[in-house]
Amino acid sequence: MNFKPVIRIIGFLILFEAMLMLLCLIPGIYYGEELRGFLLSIAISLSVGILAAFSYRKTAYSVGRKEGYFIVAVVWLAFSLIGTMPFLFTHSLDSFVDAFFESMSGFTTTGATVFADVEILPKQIILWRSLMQWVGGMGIVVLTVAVIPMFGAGGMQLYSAEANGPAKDKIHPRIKDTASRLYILYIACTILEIILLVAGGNSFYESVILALSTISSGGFSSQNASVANMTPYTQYVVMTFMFISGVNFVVLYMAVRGKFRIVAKDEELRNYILIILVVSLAIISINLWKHGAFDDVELHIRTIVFQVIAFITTTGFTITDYSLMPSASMMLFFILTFFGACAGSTSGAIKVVRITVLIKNSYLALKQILHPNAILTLRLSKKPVSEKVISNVYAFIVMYIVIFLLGALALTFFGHDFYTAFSASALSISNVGIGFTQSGMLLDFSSFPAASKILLSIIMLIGRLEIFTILILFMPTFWKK
Amino acid sequence: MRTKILLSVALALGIASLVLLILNAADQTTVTTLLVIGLVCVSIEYFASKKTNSDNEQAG
Repeated sequence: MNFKPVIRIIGFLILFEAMLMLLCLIPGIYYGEELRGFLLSIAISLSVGILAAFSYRKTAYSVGRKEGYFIVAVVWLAFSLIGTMPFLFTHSLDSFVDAFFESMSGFTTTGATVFADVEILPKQIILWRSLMQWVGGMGIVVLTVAVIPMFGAGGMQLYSAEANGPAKDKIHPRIKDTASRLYILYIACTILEIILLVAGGNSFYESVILALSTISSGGFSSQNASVANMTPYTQYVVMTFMFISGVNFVVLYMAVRGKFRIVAKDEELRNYILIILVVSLAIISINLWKHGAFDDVELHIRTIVFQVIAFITTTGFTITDYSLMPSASMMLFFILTFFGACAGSTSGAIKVVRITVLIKNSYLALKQILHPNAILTLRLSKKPVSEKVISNVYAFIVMYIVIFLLGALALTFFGHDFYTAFSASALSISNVGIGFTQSGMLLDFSSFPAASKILLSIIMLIGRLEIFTILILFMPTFWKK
Repeated sequence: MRTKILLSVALALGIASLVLLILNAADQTTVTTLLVIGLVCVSIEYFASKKTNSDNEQAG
């Protein structure tokens, strides 16, 4: 393992993080807040970043497969550790564990928070939380590949280690150009959402916070009630962009380029839309059956569709107290927690494409029993899927379930009840950020013991990096020359 | 040479800001200015090395 390029890349990213912190000074200056905490964070990041990035200046950037996985894991950890500084230095949080949980929840776009009241926080901190999510949404390393020009062949190793989903689609032969184009699209979507939110009467600051958290499928809000108290127009805009954030950005890029045939052929996108429609209809029917006629039909449909999209895209915004809904509706929300949206989107969890492969393969297995001699091929978007991909999908899902269950088991040892342990483990591995307790919604983690917060932070990272990237580091063969 | 000068300036400004903040010896505006200059130096170096790299790629 060559550690020199690892240190250089981490140094560059710390410098980038310092730039992000600098942006947070803008609302601080505008609203006349104390800047000392952020200034201290920037000064440390700048000094450490320069020392790390330029101490091995003559080192080539090219990294191998092993270094790629190692860099991705270490970079996410380093980003989260540096991200704790603004919380600690502004005294928004006094405990390092709380700050690490909030930071990890931000960068992994989970959106779980330890703040019981976000409305009393300095505006700089609220922007910092949303910025962390925005950077984490597209992936810190995809950003590295896009902005650090010195990457050679190693760019692909990093992209493969971080990009989500079973297939790592490219829109340009050069990985650097693929990453750059995805980032441009990501920025364009963010700006478009800000414009639409401002047009709807929201303040510029509020719009920026909301847009950064929506497009990254993060879910941090500047209000305690998430988006529940916002206007229907704002909720519709947020809902639309949550949906967009769940679409594969390569497919979105094709749509923007007018290649609608390719978009229409995408089976995962079709299934993603189908799941949203079917689950929304099911929950509407269940609620209608339990409560009788709705007083306000539009409000009820908007609320349910919004919450379904918030769960499936793993954004985790709340528009209503979903824990008051019938148990069957809550169960559907809980199941959605594991689904996730499309691969190559900013969402977390298992992803629709893997669920599709799993279901199709199970169907083929049943068919094979009836026709033992038939040669059956699993197809996705009319293309055959290799055995290797199917095997990876199965391995991923099995490991996902095992980590989720072990996480829940460990939480019960830390004193949590059965309900909370299951929900907290699920919302962390899927990066949803919201869940259920026995008595209502699980939104605030401030009362959780430190051990639970550390465990959940690790689970969030494992979920965000799609399990393999982290688990591979624990294999003895990984460290052999 | 350019890299050495820019990065040394940025590093010096970063450490100076840190010391000033710890000793509480300067106001927020001064420290903000120092840090902005430091990050501008880093950005100039970043874009200059990007251009050099792009030129080298084209030449190659």
